[in-house]
Amino acid sequence: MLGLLVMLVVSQAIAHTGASGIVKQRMDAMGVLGDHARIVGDMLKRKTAFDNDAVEMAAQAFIEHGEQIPALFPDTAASRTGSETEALPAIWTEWDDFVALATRFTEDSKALATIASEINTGEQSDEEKSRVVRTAFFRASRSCSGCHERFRLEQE
Amino acid sequence: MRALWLFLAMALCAVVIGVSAVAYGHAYNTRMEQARSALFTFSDAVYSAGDPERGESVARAAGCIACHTDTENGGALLAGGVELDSPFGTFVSPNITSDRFSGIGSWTVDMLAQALLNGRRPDGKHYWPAFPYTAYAVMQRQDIADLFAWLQSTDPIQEASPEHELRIPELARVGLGLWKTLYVPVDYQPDRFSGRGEYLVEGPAHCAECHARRDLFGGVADRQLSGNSRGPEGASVPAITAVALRDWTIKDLEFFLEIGMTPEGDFTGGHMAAVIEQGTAHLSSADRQAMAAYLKSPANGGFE
Repeated sequence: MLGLLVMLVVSQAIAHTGASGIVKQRMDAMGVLGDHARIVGDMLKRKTAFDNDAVEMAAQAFIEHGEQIPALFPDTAASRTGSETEALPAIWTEWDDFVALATRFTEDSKALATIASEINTGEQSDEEKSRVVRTAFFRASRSCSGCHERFRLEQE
Repeated sequence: MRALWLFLAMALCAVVIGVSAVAYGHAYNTRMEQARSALFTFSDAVYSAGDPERGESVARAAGCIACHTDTENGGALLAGGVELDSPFGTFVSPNITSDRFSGIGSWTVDMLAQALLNGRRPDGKHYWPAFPYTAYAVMQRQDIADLFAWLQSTDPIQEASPEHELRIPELARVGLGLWKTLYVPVDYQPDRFSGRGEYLVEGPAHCAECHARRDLFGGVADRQLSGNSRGPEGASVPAITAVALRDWTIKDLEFFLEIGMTPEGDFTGGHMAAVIEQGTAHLSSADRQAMAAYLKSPANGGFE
């Protein structure tokens, strides 16, 4: 648990050093999401042991972030063209689609949270728990690539 | 007078070179197509043996759906209309549904084999290589028969294919005969691979189209997957040789090909997102595992 917090703090500190203001704010938020996704992913890849608490924390982070997304991308000059930004102009020209993806992500993340809390009290084996989490996590994650595909500048 | 002779001599040289080039291209293509001729006697037996369910998996691996379905704008499955920007202009993918008029519903399995292996249209003209036949040229007979069965089973959509918007003249299509001598192997060798993973990566999945450098004539000469700083849509495409992927495990790669997540927890976007979402996510885990294992093997370019 402590290790997790240290990791989150460190990864925030080293990421996106050239960005500032709203751009830095949303890049940091995305970085936190990535950290949670990695932790759940490592469990599903069986690199680490299944840990339901970590799944619940991840789901909570996803929900909070999903709800924040529209506010993190205001239609201002600093937001559109700030240094280091990877946000594509399509975000603002296709705003409704962008928001719909964020909403879907929030909804799918709520379903993940429900599943995580349900199995927390259940008596399935870790193997079975991992299987239901996998399905719900995959469902939530489709919005990540779905959004990056249209709205993020890809660079190596 | 001397100038006139010089001019005539130069003109003659140009004509001789031009004719020789076209003749060379023609001879090469004839040899190449003869090497595959066993395929073009595909009888009804093979045709009816095609398994549409397996064929869908071939279509997923080969990226047919990602390129021929305009998912972003709610386009119908395989009805085309996806734009691909290139230095030669914008290519627009055609309708390949089973519609007899707008799509390829009137094709035979031989015509599909001609298109995939030789880059030839049913009317005998060359395809622009935006259609990645330089990679498909090694596709196995059964895969083609299965793919054909699946394509024919899809919903027919009557919707004319949009025209390409190219900066090069239509006449340049003739020159593709010569172009193919550089990039399409003359022999048909679908069994030259170490295993399923290498076959998928090098053949149907055509990874090199984006992950390898292109040369002066716009082709992929060196199929090493060492990345391309000027990939499609001007984006930089990362290297995916075994060395470049040293921090990835086979499991990481399998997971990536399934949901697009990197070991760091980032999710890919751009074209790769569509390649995964419409393609590799739907493959069997055995196929994804095979691709991942090949990418991590020394056979996949040990050097950077």
